[in-house]
Amino acid sequence: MLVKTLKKTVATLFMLSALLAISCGGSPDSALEPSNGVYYWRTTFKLDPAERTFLAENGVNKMYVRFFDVDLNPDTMSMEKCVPVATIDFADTLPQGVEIVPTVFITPQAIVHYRDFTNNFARRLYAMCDYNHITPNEVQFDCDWTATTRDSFFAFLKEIRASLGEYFEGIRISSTIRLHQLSQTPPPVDEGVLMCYNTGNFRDFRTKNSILDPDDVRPYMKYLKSYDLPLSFALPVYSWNVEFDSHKKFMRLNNGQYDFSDTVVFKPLGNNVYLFKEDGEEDIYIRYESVEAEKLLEVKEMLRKNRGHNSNIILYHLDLQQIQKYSKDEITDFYH
Amino acid sequence: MRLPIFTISLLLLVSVCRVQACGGLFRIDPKDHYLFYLGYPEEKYTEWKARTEKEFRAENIDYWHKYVNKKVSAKDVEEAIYSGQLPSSQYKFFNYLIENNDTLALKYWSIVNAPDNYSWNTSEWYYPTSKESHPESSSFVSNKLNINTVAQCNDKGLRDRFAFQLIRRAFHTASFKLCIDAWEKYGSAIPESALRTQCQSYYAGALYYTQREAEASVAFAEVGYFEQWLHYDIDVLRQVYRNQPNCPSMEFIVQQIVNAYFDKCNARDLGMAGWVTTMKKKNEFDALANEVLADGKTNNPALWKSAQAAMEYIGGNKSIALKLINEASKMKGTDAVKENVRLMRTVFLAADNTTGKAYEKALLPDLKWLAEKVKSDSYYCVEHYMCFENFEGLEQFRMKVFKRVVLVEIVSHFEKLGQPERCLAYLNMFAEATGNKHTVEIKPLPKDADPMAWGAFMDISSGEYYYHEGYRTDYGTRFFVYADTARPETLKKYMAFINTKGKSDMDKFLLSNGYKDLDFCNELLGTKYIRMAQWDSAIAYLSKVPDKFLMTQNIVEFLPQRNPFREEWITNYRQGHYDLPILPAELYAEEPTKLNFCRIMKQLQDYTQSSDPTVRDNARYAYAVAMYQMTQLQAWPLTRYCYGVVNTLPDLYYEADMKTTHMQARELADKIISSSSDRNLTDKAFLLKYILLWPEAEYIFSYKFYNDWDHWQLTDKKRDRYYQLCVNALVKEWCSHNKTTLPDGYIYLTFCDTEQDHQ
Repeated sequence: MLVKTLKKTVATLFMLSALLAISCGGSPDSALEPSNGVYYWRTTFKLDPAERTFLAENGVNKMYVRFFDVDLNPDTMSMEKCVPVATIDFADTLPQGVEIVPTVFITPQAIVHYRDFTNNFARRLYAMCDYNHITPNEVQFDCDWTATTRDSFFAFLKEIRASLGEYFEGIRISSTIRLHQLSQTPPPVDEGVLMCYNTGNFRDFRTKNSILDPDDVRPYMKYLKSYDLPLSFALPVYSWNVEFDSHKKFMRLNNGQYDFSDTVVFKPLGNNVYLFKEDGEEDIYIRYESVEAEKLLEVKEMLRKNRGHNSNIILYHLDLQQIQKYSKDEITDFYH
Repeated sequence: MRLPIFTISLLLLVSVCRVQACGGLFRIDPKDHYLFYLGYPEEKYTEWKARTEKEFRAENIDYWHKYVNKKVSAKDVEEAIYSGQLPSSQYKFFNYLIENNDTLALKYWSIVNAPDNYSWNTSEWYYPTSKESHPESSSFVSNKLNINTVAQCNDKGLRDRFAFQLIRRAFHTASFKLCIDAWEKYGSAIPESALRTQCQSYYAGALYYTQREAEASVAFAEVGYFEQWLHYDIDVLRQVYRNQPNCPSMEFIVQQIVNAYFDKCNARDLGMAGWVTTMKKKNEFDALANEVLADGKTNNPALWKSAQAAMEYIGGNKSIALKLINEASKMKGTDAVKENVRLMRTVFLAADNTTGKAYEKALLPDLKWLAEKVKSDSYYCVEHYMCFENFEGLEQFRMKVFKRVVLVEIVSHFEKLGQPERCLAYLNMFAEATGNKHTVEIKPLPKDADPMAWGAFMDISSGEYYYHEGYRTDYGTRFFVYADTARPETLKKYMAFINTKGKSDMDKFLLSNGYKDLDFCNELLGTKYIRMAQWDSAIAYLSKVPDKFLMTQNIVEFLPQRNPFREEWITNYRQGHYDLPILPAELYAEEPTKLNFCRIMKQLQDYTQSSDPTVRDNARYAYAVAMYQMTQLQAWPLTRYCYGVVNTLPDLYYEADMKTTHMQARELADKIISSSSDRNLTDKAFLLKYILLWPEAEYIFSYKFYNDWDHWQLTDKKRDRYYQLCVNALVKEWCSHNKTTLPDGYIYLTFCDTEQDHQ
């Protein structure tokens, strides 16, 4: 009898482990519809002909357009604690054959008050889509949630799915996933987009590249394999200037295009850091940050090695001035 | 392999045991809470919002009332501008403007009015559908309202209001540069008023969105806008102080700086560079505080001094902290600061191990004050684990401080002195002050009700069923946890203490504010002896506990359901069929109490010495089964007071006793195997050894509890390997004992060091 019981128990253990192995073994990313994506993160929607060509040439068929941010309301005249901020102005026609995914950034300060705005949020999103002739299949939420705000964000997602369902039948919802969030339970969404950028602290003068450093990404790979949510990867193709005062204290981010070849005005200090000197003005240190194609591909390979090849790639973000620094072949490599 | 085993154990836990509403654990160490509290962002924001709204509304009505030379009453003005369609001739106020052909004022109101014409419920969330026009856009700002619109207005008051609308609209349409320009050109010239505050808060927001965070923070602070997005920096604080030495936001910024220092000092991965920066910041703050205290412009000096004290304490300089907080307590300060100073002083005194015998005397006044405060707070919370989540507000903060004072500082003080019974006295006082509840209403079960569904229990003497309305909370307090896991001698000393009137003032305070119930203590002590398998002692203490008390216990409904002599792991087990003069399972079922269990176990223990080998081996087996069962899912109410997925005290609290009883059970099983010729009994002994492997495996890994239950983790991977080794060894032993080989198809558990091996 003992052997029979032992056998039964052992067999049960094996069956359960096998079942779990099967359920964990297949990549959840195979559920993703293959696509090439790009984020649109400006406050006015206007595509110039070159940008339209870029979309067509690279087979971009999905555009994640930031519709607005949700933040605390500084207007005390209003009854609403949280409000939409920096709503996009659609000043151009939408590109043909490209699915628009309304994307909304919610600040961590606002998400804890999600009950105040969930219904208005859905109504507004519907109105924006209706007014601008967009029929969305998916809505994406971007929130830098942490352990403190996670419950609020997850609860919001559950509620907004129901609220959006009243306006859009069968709408899918997705969420951005920051690297630090990989160690936590996935949000209750249909799919996620792993943000492989903003990996460093741009405020710190000592940071070499806050946009993307493969060494900053590597420690998170251990979570990637078993992360139980279909994932796409967002790769950064933007650049910026991080400006520090003469005490090397962070001042601002600047998207301006400086002519760093003018070494009289911009004295190179190495590692893409320049000293801007002007008579009578305080010195400014400028760290120019962008990500070389090799680094992007290195990260992409790292991700694929740890996750498989079913994930889609989304470039962040559509700004031809920035994207032009990569060759056509390099862009193709990013996507494939 | 780790995952399935864990999953199974969880499934077992869920399916077999019932979750009982008991408290128990500390999910966050009270030391990990902030020390310095003058209000959380959320509370401050709510307060600020309500105040500024009220001020703005009153000021606005007053302005327009005067603007129309009081020809329209203030009430009519209010009705027109706050509840009407603007500008509509049905209101006296707008009629007046129309009759006087005041085109500028009417233009102003048409701009203000714009959102109302197209909004649902005047919502900021409004966006038109395809059937509506779309006036709210940046083009609206540029066409109808721009810098020139403001400039063209000669009336100063009206110009300020045009500027306000421009700043507001520019902000909402993300025209941050325009928002900043409009503030700098017009907004900053508006005299001190609610209108100016409104404008400045938009300006601050625009600075924030253009990454000018330090400037934004100064502007936010100046308008008194408290939120988490403020940049809490010494430079910001210095600038705010220079602009407004008594700025209302000062307390909050100082609090955030102290708490940021706390976070840094508690960060595990700060590194040397981080530490140097942190210390530099602390020194900068110290220098600023000294400067502020010296120049005498602040009317809240206790704030600055107490912040210095907090930082010293956080940095480990406890004696300096105590000196500084005593100085702060003599200084001028707001009510909030004064209370914060006293709360901190209570913590510092409780942590002061330098006073020797004077410790309790020094602590008593502040401890009394704090206990009274907590008692009088409407915030009701027995030590339930939920108390540690999402708490904000002064009442909850007092509770946190109280926990820190008693549970951390005082308890560790007396533990170091080797006086755990004194810890019990303080913990008892603490439990009472935080609303411990000792009674429970016992009600007869309604006719035809299902006893199981109602969680009912039977009164053995009458055979009637009863149920509890509510439950006793005193099996979930820290006092309970400490008493339940202390050694018997500690509890006995504590029982002796509560039988006295007390000598010192602190004794008297603790006795008069504690719960004195010897039944509760005797029952605990008796249960403790069950865990130690000391039946005589257990019987002695449990005999003192009246049935009336037992009926109030939360476990009373579970005791009959969980018979320790039934071998639930055997399919179709034969209940009580031992070759013994007694049938223990039936005997227990007749009177399912701890006392009866002890008597049966005592009898079985005697039979294990029997000269009749059959009686001896069967007694050994029944005794061993119960020794295992009484600590486990099957019969947990004999040794524990709660057992559920969430609220259970972890096994590690009872590990020492469990190890001993399980070892005894295993030894008895081995004796049966070596001495008995009854194949059925030896097989069952083998099976018991197999069952015992589970808890034995548990001993070699530990739980680690985080503040979130999703994240409790098993920390030792060796458990799997250990367990598998044990199972394989046991199978071999069985084969050898029965001189047989494994049947075909038997699969050994295999080793797997990594989860990857199984994928």
